[in-house]
This record gives sequence, C-alpha cells and structure tokens, in this order.
Amino acid sequence: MTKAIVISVIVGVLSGYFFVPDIIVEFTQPVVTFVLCLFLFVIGLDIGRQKTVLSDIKRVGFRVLFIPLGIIIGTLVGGAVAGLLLPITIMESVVVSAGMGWYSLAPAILMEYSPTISAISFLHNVMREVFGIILIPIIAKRVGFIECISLPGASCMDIAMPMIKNATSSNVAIYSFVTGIVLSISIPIIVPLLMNLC
Amino acid sequence: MLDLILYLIMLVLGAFVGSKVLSDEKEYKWIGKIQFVAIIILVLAIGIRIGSDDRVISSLGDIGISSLIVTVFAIAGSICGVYIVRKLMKVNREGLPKDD
Repeated sequence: MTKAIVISVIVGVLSGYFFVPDIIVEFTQPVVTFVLCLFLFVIGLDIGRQKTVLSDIKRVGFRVLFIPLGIIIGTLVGGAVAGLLLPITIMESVVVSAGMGWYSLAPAILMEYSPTISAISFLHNVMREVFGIILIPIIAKRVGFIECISLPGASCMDIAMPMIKNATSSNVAIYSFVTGIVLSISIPIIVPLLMNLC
Repeated sequence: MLDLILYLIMLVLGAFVGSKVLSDEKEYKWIGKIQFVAIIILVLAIGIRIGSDDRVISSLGDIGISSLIVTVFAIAGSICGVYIVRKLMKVNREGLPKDD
C-alpha cells in the first residue's frame, strides 16, 4: 500500500472514531456508491483500451482463462473453510475472501451490508495483497510458476506484476496480466452477488 | 441486486467506451489520477465507517484474527486451485505444456 493510502486509512479511522458526526457517516454511503461507479467506469476504460489483451489470450491460448477460474474457486472454497472456524457465517467468510486483494473496492461494496464484515474484508484484502506479494518468490520456486500468480489476487496485473515476472518468465507474466484483468472484472460482480446471498 | 447491476453497467460501459475511443498506445495520465483519487476517497470512507462504529472498534482484535484466518485459507485455496488446474491442463511447473 502506498503511503497516501495508509495515511488515508489512519485519518479515516481516527476521524470516524473521534469526531465525525453520525450524519456525515451516513453521507459516506451515497458518496461511496458514486465514487465506486466512477472508479469502475475508469477501470473499464483502462481494460477496454488494452486491445492487446484479446490478442494475448489468442496467442497463449484460451486455456489461460482457467487460471483465474482456479483462483476464484480455490479462494471461495478457502473462504468457506475459514468460515467454519470463525464466528461469522460461512457465506460472510466467502464474501470476504471474494475481494481477492482489492481492498479499495470490496469493503466499499460491503459497507452497506455490515461495517464489521466490511472491516474484515478490508484487513483481509490488505493482508492478501501484502502476504501474497511476499510469498511470490517462495511459491514460484517451491510449487510452480503459475501458482504464484494466484497469490496477490487482482494486483497480479499491476502492482505484483514486476515481482511475478522476476520470479518466473515473460510468458507467465502475460498469463498474470490476463488473469488480473479477468479477476478485476469478476470481483465487482462476485462480491455484490455473494453479498446479496448473505 | 440493484447495486450489482449498477456496477456491472459502469464496468461494461467503461470497457465499451475505452475500446472504441481510447488507444492502447497513448498514455492517459488522467486515468491513473482518477483511479488514485477514487481509491483515496473510498479508503477514507471505509476508515470513517470503521472508526465510527463502536462494535467494530471494540472487536478489532477478533476482526484482525478473522482477517488473518481468511487470508491463510484463501491463499492456500488459490494455490491449490491453480495447482489442480495446472495438472488438469498438463502444464509443468514453469508454465510450459508437458509435451514440450
């Protein structure tokens, strides 16, 4: 997480704890919905203009799409198992894991469901990205190149990309990029979907 | 469900406009800037929501542990998920097809 983001979290939490009046706290919900829409639109712009993605997929084969599939299913199953051990419901645990590292999106979506689940989602997704990135070289050596794409979640297409490329190969870097795009499209769909099932 | 449809529409709309209007060669600095500002606002709002909620503050320890446990299982699950997919696709550890 960059310094600015860390500072924002701290400022936000301290403000909310010490002085923000309830009326303003309520106001954050429509603000978040609006900013989320703008954010997703711009993400869409960014994804849509990458005309190389389709040719990348064609070049490495459509089988590459099985990687994000494996990540999503593995993550949600892992979330469900974790839910068996935790005081939150299994569905809630699954929806937390469904953020797959996108700590600015998933907790924002979950805010209207439950502040507690949103908080768990935030912390979990931060941990997912941070621990995931740390584990990349270890998993690349011990388990496999493709597996290390799965570690950080959605940031495998941008922030974690240099680390993945370093630990693996340029081929795998392309798989990582495509995977990241598929995950980035899937997360804003899966999280609200699962949230409605909670 | 309304929120899901809304987010989906924004994503699809953005992708459609992006593919038609923007080029993949040019660097659009404003895209990154808007994303950054959006992230800051979202994270600030998330922080305010968390900080102002007494139940959350009083159970921060539990929340931390829950997050950690989900993280461990989610990462483990992901690795397993990809491992299985890789074996089924007959791809080796370096990401190359086994018949290479």
